[in-house]
Amino acid sequence: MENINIKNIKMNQTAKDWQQALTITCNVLVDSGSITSEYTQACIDSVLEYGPYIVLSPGFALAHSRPSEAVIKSDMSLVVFDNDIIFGSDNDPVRVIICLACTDHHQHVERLSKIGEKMFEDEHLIEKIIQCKTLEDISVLING
Amino acid sequence: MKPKIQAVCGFGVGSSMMLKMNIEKIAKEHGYEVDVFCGDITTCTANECNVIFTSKELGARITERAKVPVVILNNFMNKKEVEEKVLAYLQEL
Repeated sequence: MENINIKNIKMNQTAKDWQQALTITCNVLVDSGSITSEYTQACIDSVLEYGPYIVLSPGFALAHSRPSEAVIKSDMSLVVFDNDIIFGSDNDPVRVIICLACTDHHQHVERLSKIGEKMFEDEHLIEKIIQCKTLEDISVLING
Repeated sequence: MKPKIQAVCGFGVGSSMMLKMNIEKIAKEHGYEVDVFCGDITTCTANECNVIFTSKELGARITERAKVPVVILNNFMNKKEVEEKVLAYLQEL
């Protein structure tokens, strides 16, 4: 099973601020029918409320909120930005954002863990994703 | 008794899940048996555990009301940092 469907991966995006970057990343899942736009807002609100803790490591943010009715099915998207996104975190600037949407505390765990393991074992994974020239190359890094 | 470690993020489903997995991995690699679970920032201090691992931003919110030590991680995905801080905790027990 793939971790993130290639249809949910985008590259060469630009955003003027972190709110717009989160919106672009979440909108991939709105377009694929996995979430409603309320979830996008919930992801933004969570950063406004709790701070930029979603920037988990240098260059990488995991946008997410709590399981809710705004999530139609558990899914993930990944967007690579051409410009630096500033969240106000020690791990700025961000270039790769994954949006995680989950319906409960279990369904998404396996796929998220597999991505996490890849990042944990390869500290250059985010740099490699940024340097990819095609969506297929990104998919191989994330799903291979 | 296995130490009970709580990994905390905003909602207990995303970042804390990644952190939980990394803590488990390090413990296993070094031969420690641990019980790691995810918690959310709102309810974490009511959950029974021996230690809390979380981010800088969230740690600042719970350090005062937490009854157990709070360990701050700057980079959840950095093996070296997670290894260093998890082992420092486990070796003190």
